[in-house]
Amino acid sequence: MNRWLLWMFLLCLPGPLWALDTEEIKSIPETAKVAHQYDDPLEAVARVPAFVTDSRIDQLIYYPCENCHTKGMVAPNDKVRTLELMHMEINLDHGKGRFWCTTCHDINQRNQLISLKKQRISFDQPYLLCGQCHFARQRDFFQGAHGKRKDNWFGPKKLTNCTECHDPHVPQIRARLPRKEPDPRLGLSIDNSDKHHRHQPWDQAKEEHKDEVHQ
Amino acid sequence: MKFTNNNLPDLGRRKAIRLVGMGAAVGMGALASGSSSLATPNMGNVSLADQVGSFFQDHYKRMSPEEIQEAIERLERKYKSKYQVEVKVGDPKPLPDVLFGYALNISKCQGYRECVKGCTAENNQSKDPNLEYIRVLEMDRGQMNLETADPYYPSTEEVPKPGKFYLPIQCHHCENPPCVKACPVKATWKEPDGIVVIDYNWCIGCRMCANACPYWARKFNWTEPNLPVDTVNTQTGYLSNRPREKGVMEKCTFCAQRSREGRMPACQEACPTGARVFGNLLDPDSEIRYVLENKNVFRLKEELNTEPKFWYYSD
Repeated sequence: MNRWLLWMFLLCLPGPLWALDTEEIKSIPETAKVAHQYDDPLEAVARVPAFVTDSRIDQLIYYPCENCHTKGMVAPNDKVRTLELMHMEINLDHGKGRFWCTTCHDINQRNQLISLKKQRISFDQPYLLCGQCHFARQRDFFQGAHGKRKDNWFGPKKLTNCTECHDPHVPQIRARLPRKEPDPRLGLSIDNSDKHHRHQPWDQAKEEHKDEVHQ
Repeated sequence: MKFTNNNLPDLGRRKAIRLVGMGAAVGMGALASGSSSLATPNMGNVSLADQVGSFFQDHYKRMSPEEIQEAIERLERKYKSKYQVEVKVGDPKPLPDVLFGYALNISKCQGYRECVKGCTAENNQSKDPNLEYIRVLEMDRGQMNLETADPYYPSTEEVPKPGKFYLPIQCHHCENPPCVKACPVKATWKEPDGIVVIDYNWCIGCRMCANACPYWARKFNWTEPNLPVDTVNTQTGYLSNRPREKGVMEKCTFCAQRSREGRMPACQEACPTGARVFGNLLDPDSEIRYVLENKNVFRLKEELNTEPKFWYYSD
């Protein structure tokens, strides 16, 4: 008898779930608004804690770009091509082939960057440009969870600019050699001869005591 | 359980010895000053008065501001004769309404060991044998097994290696520090700003704290620290990075000589990936609070109830 009661109880359980009208949950009420898009990229900065960054313009080799590009020396050319005279060192490995120079560099005003909505952005504020796609990273950057704060932990906040660490043309951080490994504890040594099983310093002690039978 | 360490040991015996010693010191001092023919014995370029003064120096927390100042001047004279450079020993006090916390992004850390380099350049550790506060563990992805972690990955192979992640460990500045409980002479304690410090002059070198620490944070000077003159950092703090002696314990102090003046710890400054976030846990607008509130954080060996103020996060 008890078993029947249990079965009845279990069968009734999903009942309240069916009662929920899924359509009602899915439909968006008409009063809801589409998420606000910034007209001015600087609006992204206006609502986060105030910060400054070091100037990037001082660090750029070719800046001011206008010296060549809009003073009659080089005609604007938006065509995707292999660069042969200048900027050959730039290996554009960003966006999996979707980008060309003028996606981010303003073709008319060469000393500026340009957003996808055709707003001009200074070379000193690349975080506004990067944040168009990397918006989650941008938010973390403004709040301090991505990137790096310089000098102090309180007082005026100075952040490291995106392009100080990432090459915007090849943004991924490359593998490189680490600094020197720590010394092993006194009296022990590290053996790096076997790559598949690196002998740890404590293996030496194990070797020495392997004949001892634990009872 | 709330743990306090204000109960210092009964000092009857120590006081008695000190009194006897003071008497002897006064006698010897009178001898040394009274007669020019009785020259001060050669004690490694440190004057007799300084030797006696440092021998009878009290615990940091029991010293008056004047006594601390005297101790600092003694140390500065000693370092001057030892390293032939002016080493400034400061004594920055904990800032009010500040509790330091640290967060480390393990998805950003690439295992370059730059933090280790930055730390040893700042904190006057022994260079041979090499004493480092930060240990970067190379771990297999998908697990958190510290037994297979490798701190000795070679500097001849590029990092990050595929299938590995990197977990730097250092002093976690626990809110409930087991090392402080273990110290039999109370030479280590937690400061009001959360930094666990050591009075190197009071440490007897028993290494109980190193046994108690579950994070391998404490390093012992088994030999006379070998600190070449050109690597001495002359801006030091009494409780943090002043050069140490043989036979004392030392560890990370969140660079108290820097952080208490508002600057970032040296490891944060050295990190090229921006994996390290340092700040005031009591400030709701600080970066560290943003990380704790918005990221998936964990603490190492949380089950031990040590309440570390060092979080790891990933994104």
